[in-house]
Amino acid sequence: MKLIISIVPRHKGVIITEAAKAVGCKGATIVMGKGTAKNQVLEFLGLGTSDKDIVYMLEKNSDYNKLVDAIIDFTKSEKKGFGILFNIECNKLLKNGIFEIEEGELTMATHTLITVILNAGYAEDAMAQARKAGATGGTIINARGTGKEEDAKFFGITIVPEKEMLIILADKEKQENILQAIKELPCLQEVGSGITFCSDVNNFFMLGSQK
Amino acid sequence: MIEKLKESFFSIGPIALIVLLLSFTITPMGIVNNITFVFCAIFTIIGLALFLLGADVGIIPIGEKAGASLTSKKNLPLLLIGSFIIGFIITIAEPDVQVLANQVASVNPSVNPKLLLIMIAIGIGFFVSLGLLRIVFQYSIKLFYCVFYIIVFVLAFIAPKDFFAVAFDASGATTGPMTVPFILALGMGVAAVMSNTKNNKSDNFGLTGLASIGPILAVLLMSIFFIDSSSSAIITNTENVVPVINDEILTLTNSSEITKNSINIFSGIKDVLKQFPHTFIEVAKSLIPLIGLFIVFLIFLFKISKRQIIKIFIGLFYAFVGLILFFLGINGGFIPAGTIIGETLGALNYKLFLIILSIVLGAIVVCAEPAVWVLTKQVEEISGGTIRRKVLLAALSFGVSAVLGLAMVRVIYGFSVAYLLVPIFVIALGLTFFCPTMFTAIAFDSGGVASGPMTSSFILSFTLGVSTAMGGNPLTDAFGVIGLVASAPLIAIQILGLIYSKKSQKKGGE
Repeated sequence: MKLIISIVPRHKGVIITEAAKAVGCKGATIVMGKGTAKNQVLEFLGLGTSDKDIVYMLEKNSDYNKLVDAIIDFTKSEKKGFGILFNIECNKLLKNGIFEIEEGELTMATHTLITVILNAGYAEDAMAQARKAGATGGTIINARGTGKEEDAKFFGITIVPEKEMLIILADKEKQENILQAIKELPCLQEVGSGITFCSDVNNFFMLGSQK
Repeated sequence: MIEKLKESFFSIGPIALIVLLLSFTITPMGIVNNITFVFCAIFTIIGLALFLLGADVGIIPIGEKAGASLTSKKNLPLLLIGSFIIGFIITIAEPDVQVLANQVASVNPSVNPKLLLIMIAIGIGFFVSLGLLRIVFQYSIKLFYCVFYIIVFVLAFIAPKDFFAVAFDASGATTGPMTVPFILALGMGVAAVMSNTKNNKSDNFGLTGLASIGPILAVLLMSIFFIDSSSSAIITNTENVVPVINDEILTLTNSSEITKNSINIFSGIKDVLKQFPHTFIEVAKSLIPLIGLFIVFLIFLFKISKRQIIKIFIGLFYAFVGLILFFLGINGGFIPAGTIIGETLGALNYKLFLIILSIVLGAIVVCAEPAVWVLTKQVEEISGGTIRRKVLLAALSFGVSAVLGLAMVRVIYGFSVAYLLVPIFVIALGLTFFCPTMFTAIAFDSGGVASGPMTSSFILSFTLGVSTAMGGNPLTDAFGVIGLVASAPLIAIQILGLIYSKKSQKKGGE
């Protein structure tokens, strides 16, 4: 079973879900994110960031190729570098109250998905570090911590920290460098300030015109 | 950036197109004015795009961080006093508020403009901190709106009649393009760090809506307590009254006359550029307190990295340049155009055409308001994309176009704005009982947002032109238009909310 993740410009997530529907994939979840700028200078000037849709879909191994072909086909008319598509192996899905079980396939992962969860406002600092270590781009999602039991209450309401989640897709061989660079960040040194983890990613595709 | 330019092109473009279309058919403005207008329209488009970028990178992060960190301190007095000061400071510096205070004073000399200015700022500060208090204690926002608008109408009933329209305009005028995104973001910052609340998503909105009650109450209270009952002198005193909220309109007649007489085609553009120092100062006035607040926050409240600080300053700079260009374009191009079109059409006396034109203009003018783009984007993001920006914009367009149609009928037949405002608010407050809370909050926020610089300049000068040409009383006719535009979203967005809740119930009550 595969978790298929696609990152495309804002409002274009519908194209992916339409493609999925056309080949019988039932559901998808769209999350809103913000793509980081292509390089340091643009980022500093506040230019070059763009709003993104992140589409999550689950599909059986057997139907996976059909789905990916459909998505690539549906997005052909868009411009080059329109978006990206990759998958993460999963093995258990609870749907309609029933567990569906299918082991992931063993493949050599070519890419890695680095996820950094840190206090709001620092995602771009992390991205700047990662960029120095060879990362090309990332996507930022606004989030918020769940709050722990010991968190102080304010008139009965738990105050939780604002968080940002930065996801960076990179070549597997760059993983160590990027992780080391992120480790250097001062904003990740304190307790509870953030975490970083990596997951193997298979079958990375660029969407959009294939020319 | 290209996205922002596209957005701003599609929001200003249609208005510019209609103006040019009219200029080439019914209301010729002359070649000089046409060229100046195109030039100004380009200014406005670039200005709006820059401003939106600046709001994203500069103004909104400050507001959000201020809200979040004030709340995280878990100190109620600090939160309340801090937010009061924020509301007070950003309002008192807003140039529009100062102009409004002076206008009210010129209507009735017994009003002290400085006192009124302080009253309005206190009003906004009070309601901002009341709004945050509401979020902390999870009181119903609907209740707040109902209670305070009932108070407003009771006071309006007691207050001298002439102040009714002014009071409602005041709320639209004081919530300028700088303050709205900031107050909006402040509320979001507070809501963002609060977990396990009953209605978390709807808590993000409603603060701007509450804040805009402040000026209405301030003006009404002022008129009741500080003015002699012999205020009937007001209407006769029209000459020295500029019945317009935006003071730049003062200059519009001058500049359009100059352009009419000049031979050089580009002289119009030169006149527009002459406005630069004035506009520069006005925009700086509204930005400086924001920068001051930011620096104070940096010292006492924020813990952020250097790159974030620099980025915010760059954002504020974009907003600054953007607003200057935007106002230059509006004052030099859209206001004279509005006046010329209004006067010519008014003189031609095509009543039906005027009403239809108002409806069309209403539909597109709301998309040209800077704050509208800021609000709709935030709504889309917080609702996770379920409330689409386009749907909101469509609802706003419908609302404002209907209301502007009515406003034109009022200008033509000259009846009191109360006959429109009272029913609209009665319906709007009635709807709050049926509408999902989040939509009610968004609706009241949109009120302050929809009546921004484009309405208070282009639409106002257009209605003024018509009113003057038809021999109406520009004072009574002009005041009230902004208030009307601000009231339109209350109904439109809440109806949208009803439709949404009906639809999701059908799907099984998600």
